[in-house]
Amino acid sequence: MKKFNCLVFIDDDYPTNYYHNEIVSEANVCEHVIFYERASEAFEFLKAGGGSGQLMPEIIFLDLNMPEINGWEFAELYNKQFSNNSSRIILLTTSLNPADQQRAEECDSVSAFMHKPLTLEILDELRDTWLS
Amino acid sequence: MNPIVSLRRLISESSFSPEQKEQVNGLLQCLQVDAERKDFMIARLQENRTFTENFLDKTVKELEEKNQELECIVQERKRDNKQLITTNQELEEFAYIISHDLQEPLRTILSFVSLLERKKGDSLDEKTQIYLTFISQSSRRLSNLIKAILDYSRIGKIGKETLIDCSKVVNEVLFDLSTAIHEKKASITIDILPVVFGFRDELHSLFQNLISNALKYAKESSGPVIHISCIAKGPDWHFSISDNGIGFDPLYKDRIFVIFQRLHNPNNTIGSGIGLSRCKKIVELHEGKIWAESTPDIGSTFHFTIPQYEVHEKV
Repeated sequence: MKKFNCLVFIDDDYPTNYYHNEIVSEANVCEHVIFYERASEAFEFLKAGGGSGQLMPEIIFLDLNMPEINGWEFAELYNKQFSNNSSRIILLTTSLNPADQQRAEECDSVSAFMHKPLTLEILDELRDTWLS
Repeated sequence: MNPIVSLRRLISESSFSPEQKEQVNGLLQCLQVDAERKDFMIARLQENRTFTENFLDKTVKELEEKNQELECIVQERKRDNKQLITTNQELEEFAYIISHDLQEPLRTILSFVSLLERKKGDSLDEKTQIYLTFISQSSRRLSNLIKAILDYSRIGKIGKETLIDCSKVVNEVLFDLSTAIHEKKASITIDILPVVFGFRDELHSLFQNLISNALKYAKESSGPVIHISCIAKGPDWHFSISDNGIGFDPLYKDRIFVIFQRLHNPNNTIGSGIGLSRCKKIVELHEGKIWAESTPDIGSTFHFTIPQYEVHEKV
């Protein structure tokens, strides 16, 4: 079974990151997974070309409501900086606001809009559609 | 027959000398021109009058229509106002429902987590204990949020406006915060503060929020130095609470007042994301303004205004 090389999660909520780490490990869908509590740190990581290990993620799971740089601002920065990048953003949020969903559809680098938390089934499905 | 024409005929048949005839005819010519001008003016006036009358008719009709429209709008407003009052009442009830009905299942979760920890604590593996910690921490956070929302919805609903000595309120706040002040070795200076007309509990909460923020976001390297001042500015009192804390990027000076927006990670500091929006609601309740200035690593100053009492009375 194919695996993602790297997944990145950006979420300011530590318990959510902990949970996603557990689920991602259990689903066994990727070689590497990196968590950022601050969008600015994730942005620096991407700007540096995925750190020293050249870990450019296939998917960036992005929370919307965060202190400092929020999800929308990150997506905008990402669009400007990495227009031809292969990494795609999936917005991961608790927001049930239809306006957010609409905005996500209009955002270039955003591939999907999903509700937290990720499940084993969703991760399997993502792997199947992404890596086939 | 036109009198000028008749006169001409009479003169031509008269015994006037040709010079006299010419002179009189000249005068008659002038009269003729004047008469024509008069006719023309009368016709113009008539035209204008008809136009004005039509215009007035139209305007009156339009005004009547506008009046009817306005009447409809007034009726609609009245309906909307009634609806607003109902909606506000519903919102208040909703806040109470939230406070009670959501707190109960939360309490159950917290109770059973603590039971598990107490009774099975020794036999639980490390992972399970971490999971339980997450459950209890998140439940407590939710419980605090619910309480904060309820308090937020109650701002200005309970109590009456009275004369309040801000120096006294701030001293009470400092007493409430004395443990934290002592622990952080904070140095707090206060100018003479005025008497204002407002809500006692709300103003207490306003000062408490701003001072405890100054304590909470202090630098680890040095003890917090906090100064509370007030000056008269136009019709308002202008209060300032400045600190030498960690500060924040001025880019976020507006966002910090939006409900549930935090500038700091919830895992690092205790904040419901409601404190400053609460302050904003309280200041606006008192018809004032609130804003902040900050330089990262240097400190922040929070400003707010409250109308001076005398002016408030006249208004």
